[in-house]
Amino acid sequence: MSSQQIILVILIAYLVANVLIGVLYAKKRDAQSALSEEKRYFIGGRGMSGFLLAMTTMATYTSVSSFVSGPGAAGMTYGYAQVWIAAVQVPVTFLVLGVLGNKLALVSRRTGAVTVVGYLKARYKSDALVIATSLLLVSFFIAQMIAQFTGGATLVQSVTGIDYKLSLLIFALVVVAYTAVGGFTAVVVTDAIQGIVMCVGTFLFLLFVLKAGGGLAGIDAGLQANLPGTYSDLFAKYKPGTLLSFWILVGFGTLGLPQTAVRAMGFKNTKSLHSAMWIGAICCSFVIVGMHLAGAWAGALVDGAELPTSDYFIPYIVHKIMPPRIAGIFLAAPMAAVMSTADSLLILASAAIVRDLWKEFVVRNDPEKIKKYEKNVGLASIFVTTMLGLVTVFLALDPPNIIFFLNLFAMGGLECSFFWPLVGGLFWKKGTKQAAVASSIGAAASYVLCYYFVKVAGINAVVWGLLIGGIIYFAVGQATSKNGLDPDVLEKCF
Amino acid sequence: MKKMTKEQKHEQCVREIRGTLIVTAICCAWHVITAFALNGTGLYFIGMPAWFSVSVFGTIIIALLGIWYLMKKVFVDFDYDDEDACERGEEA
Repeated sequence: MSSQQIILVILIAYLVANVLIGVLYAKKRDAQSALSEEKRYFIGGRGMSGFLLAMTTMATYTSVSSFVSGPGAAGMTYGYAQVWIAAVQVPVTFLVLGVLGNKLALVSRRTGAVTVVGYLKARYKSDALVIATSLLLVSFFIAQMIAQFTGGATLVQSVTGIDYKLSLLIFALVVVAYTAVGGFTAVVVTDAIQGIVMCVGTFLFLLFVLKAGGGLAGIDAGLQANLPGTYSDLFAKYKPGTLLSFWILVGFGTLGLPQTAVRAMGFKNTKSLHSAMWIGAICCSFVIVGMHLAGAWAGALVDGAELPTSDYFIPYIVHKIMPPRIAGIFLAAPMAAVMSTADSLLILASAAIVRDLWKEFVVRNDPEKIKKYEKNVGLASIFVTTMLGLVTVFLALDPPNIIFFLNLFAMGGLECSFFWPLVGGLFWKKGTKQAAVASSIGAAASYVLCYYFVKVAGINAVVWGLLIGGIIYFAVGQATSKNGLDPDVLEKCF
Repeated sequence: MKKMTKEQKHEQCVREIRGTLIVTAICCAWHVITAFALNGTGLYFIGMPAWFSVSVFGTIIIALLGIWYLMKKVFVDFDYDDEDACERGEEA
């Protein structure tokens, strides 16, 4: 068997195992849940343990950027500065779980919410907000899914030699199959497997790069030769304003990401939350910093100038320094990172369409339609999830040049759309529906405009978007809260 | 598992968010200040430029110590019984 065939067999075995475990475990767990089919499909019956919560939060957050694009950029162009940026994400899991965890867990149980938009509906009682945030969510999620699907297909293509379009179809088929059939529980359990695979993959990559580079002294000499003047200077490629912006974009701003926030609605109890904060912080630091560090060190091994983009750097290095069997096991890790993010985006986009738009605006309170909805929600969700997968595959056929930037653009857009209505709404009683609608649309629009037209000291557009969104939220909230909040909102949300 | 009223739960959540944000802010300050201050000095620590290793590994250590402190002094175990009962009641 050639080395490419060995890698292909390991990858296919891994993909099939994910589908089987995801679907079978979901069916078994969901059969034990006392909650409705809708709650089982979209939030896994609120039964996640600490380990599952930590792994799914980490795996959703660590995407193609953490395993392929970011470490590739570190090795090919940016050196240690890219690892420094990645380290901003060290506190992300405990920040999100510590700030949103208990409060969202309590409020979502009191209101019956299963999605972040569902929570916003219960908190603000605004149809306009539901429509605006659902549409923004689906749009930015599709952009992020294109990045993930492209990353997955590029990976399959570069390690197996299969044509890009066929690689895309294989990758999409696997992710759509277990997500559509198994729902949230399948997403969470496959995320846990993928989280473990990512930790093993990171360990292997660090080990092999260190060995191939001849230890830290050899690596330092190699980096001086391949990235002279860049690898050891924080400001060689990045302006201070850009570097500080990352603390908003991939640090504090992640509180506004619906795909991580929704995890806070699905865990069992406070013990699960506390252990998840420990496990999540340790695993997230190891995987994100470890992968980027190994990527930067790999810059000492080769001069990657002949590669088309930095997205090809990691698969290229792996081929060079790892024996085929180990390479197959390692390459399951970036595949895991891509799949675990893509599945979470897919299930949430599906929830936004089925639960937040169809149920709220088509079914409404009509008893006949509610009966039909409850009977068909499972099948409808499978259909919508599959259709979303197909749309994404179609859009990913002509892929963007650098996945890293598309992913970050969509991430910034989501943060601007959701941050203030979500975080402000949990703790500020003057946050009214007018404030939430104005802030969400205003911040998203300012973000897109600033992304293209405002270039000041290298500061990322997400900083302006969140700043403007915050000003709008507090100003409009102050001006429109004279009559106080609805008593039902006060009762359930505070 | 502590039993709490609705108001006590809200106050506890506010304490937890305040504690988590303070720990994250300390991580942020260490990460930025040490890197910006040590960059360009030419110093090395554990085989890598000191601005990088002191900043990044220090941030990880501070984050873990911070979680340990939060779990000891700020976060408490309390039950979701009332909320779970409310959700099951509405479903029935």
